[in-house]
Amino acid sequence: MLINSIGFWIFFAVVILVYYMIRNCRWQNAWLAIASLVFYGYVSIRLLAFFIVIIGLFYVLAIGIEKKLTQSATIARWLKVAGVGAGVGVLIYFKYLNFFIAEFTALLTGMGFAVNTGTLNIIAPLGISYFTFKLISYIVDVANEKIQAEHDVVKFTAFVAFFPTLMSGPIDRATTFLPQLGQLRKLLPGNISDGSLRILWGFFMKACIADRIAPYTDAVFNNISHHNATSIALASVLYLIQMYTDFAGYSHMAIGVGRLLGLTVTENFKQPLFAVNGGDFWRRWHMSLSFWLRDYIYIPMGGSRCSSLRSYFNVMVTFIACGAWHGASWTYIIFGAHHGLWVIVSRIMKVPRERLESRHGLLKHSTWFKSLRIVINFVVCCVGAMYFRANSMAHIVVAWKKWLSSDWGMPYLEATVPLFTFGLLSILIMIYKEHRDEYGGKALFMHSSHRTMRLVCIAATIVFIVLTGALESNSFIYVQF
Amino acid sequence: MKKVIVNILIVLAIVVACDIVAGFVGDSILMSTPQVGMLQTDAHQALFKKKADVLILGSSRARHTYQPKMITDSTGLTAYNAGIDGHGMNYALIVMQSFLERCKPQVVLLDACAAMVTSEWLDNSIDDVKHFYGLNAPLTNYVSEYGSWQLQAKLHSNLYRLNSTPVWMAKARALPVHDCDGYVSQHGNLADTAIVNFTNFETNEIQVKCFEQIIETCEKNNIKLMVYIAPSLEVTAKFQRWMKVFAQRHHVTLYDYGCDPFFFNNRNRYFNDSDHLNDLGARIMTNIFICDAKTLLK
Repeated sequence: MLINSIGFWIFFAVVILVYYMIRNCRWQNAWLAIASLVFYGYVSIRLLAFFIVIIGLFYVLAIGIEKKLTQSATIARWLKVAGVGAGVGVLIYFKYLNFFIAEFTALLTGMGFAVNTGTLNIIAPLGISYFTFKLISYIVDVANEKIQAEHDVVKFTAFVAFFPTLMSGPIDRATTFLPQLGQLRKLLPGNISDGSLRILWGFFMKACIADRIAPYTDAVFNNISHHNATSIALASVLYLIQMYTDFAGYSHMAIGVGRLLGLTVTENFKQPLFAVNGGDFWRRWHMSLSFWLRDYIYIPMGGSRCSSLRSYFNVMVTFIACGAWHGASWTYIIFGAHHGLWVIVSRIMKVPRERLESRHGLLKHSTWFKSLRIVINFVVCCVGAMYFRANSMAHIVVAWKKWLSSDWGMPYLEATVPLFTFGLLSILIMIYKEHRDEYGGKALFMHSSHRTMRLVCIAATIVFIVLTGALESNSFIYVQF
Repeated sequence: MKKVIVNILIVLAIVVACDIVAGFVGDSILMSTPQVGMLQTDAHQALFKKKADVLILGSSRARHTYQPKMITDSTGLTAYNAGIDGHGMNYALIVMQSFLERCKPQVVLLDACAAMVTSEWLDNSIDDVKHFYGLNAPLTNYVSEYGSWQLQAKLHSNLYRLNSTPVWMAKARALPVHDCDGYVSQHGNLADTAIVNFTNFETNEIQVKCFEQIIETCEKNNIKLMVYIAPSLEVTAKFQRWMKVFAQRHHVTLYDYGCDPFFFNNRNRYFNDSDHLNDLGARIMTNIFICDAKTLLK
């Protein structure tokens, strides 16, 4: 049951109707928890029991840590380690075990040993990467006394299993989400309009851009050796836009649904296509994950408060973890390492750039210089997108071989009419909106202060989506993680 | 709250008004789209315009294999190739029923392939012609009988029905008009390619029902139905066995050239790609059909 399916919206209509009929915050939480578990069970009834056990385990662990904090710090620390270990262990078992077995077997075979190990038949629970990160951050925050352990199991379940963010994030933190569940939520006009507009914009990004691009990128990346360097370059550029609009589209919808339920969900994107360097990009892209990695991996390792070399090492480890979070494949590791390297290069370049800017005062405020930095960052991120989308390491090698050869020519343009008409128009609309969001300016169109203008624009957006969007979408890219 | 509700109602009213206007404008443009040889205009011709004594149904294999002009020249019967890439038995049924509203063909050549009776093309076939929902009775009946409730609900919106049509309608008007018979020739020559055997084959209930309905309709209207399997290097033996049993059970004449040694041994000469004959191969296959049809019509 995907967020852009009719089934989801019927389910949501029932949930919200009952939700606002309840006049008690505890019962609202109970209803939210039940709805979320039903949602989970609908997708995978077999793994529902496992999900409930995991929630129960972390609930008990956090209370245990809280109790032991005042009695024995050592036991509390061990409980924290156990909690983090359980979270990481679950992730390793479900997502990486088969990868490790396959790689180990390949290594032994390469060394000349005759090994014949099969892989295990493991089905990863839905949203495992998201809820384990939520739970790990919760346990660490309780152990670090940033928050108190939640004693209300219903409220805790509603937080962990919150259905709009269960499949694809954003990864909410207990520090910001749990306090919201302590108050009665009322249906407020502001929430209805804000939530609905976020959902509408999410649909626009998904249907009019991401799903319009998908056939092209699939055609190129699934047959990479049959395409020339120009097609692969074009597909890489388009895939970065597809990734962004697919995931940001989902995030907008999830945030909008949360808003309709009277809850503020963490923001996940902030105009990442306008980032000027690697660090800036990751402060705008998949923010709930990048800030999680910063707070629970990078900073505990020493962050940037150490020698430059050590700090670069920390960055690299954090970004490789970021890549590995996406899945058990070398292509994701390369994706992470590529971005880690780019962040390091951006840091190294900071001093000479600032020196240049101070020598030529105009550069600092030059639109051209900033645009140039945005373009360079965009190109680097497009290469990262290619690593992310490549079906295997061999495909990455093929892509680089083609880019470095003279295999440039006319790109593959078959069956791209909807992409280069409706899709291109939609991309321009999105860039225009993001530009206004980034650099300010009078609120226009759907956010116009003029009521008639606003309502007409909302209606026009709906008409545009239904008439031109790719409406038969199967899935979201980030649901698989 | 009252203001929010009023705003929602205003937005809904505007959307509904646009939907109605889009329906009127879209339908009139749609129905006057000229024949330019595009897949969409070919579907329009097959569903609303063409008449023929020999109706050819099927997927891309039919479209690139049977040449109506040769059939007409040789038999004196008018022919039209309504085969379209990636369309299953459900589409073939809709086309045949649409034809029967205008004329009664003497012969129906149905070129079957594995994907036509599995679920692979079940949704594609309808997605590509959903803009004719409400305009074409057989399509509308098919959706009411086999379509999911979600599809039926969505098709009540003209905007949804006309989704993505403006681009191809504009393109069709920019291209020169040319009246074609549905056959699309291919002139490539296959480089050395091995025969690929596919083992997965599972029929889809709706596609099989549509196939049965085609047989029943032909019987009821006294139309000669000739079911063909055109040569292909992508062999699904399970499908061919299934077809044999199915044809016997329904007393249908099956002409299975799927693994014909003549075409297999000369594949570099007669195939454009592993699944489609080139123009030369298509001529030979059309001649085979003409001989078979003449024998049957005697």
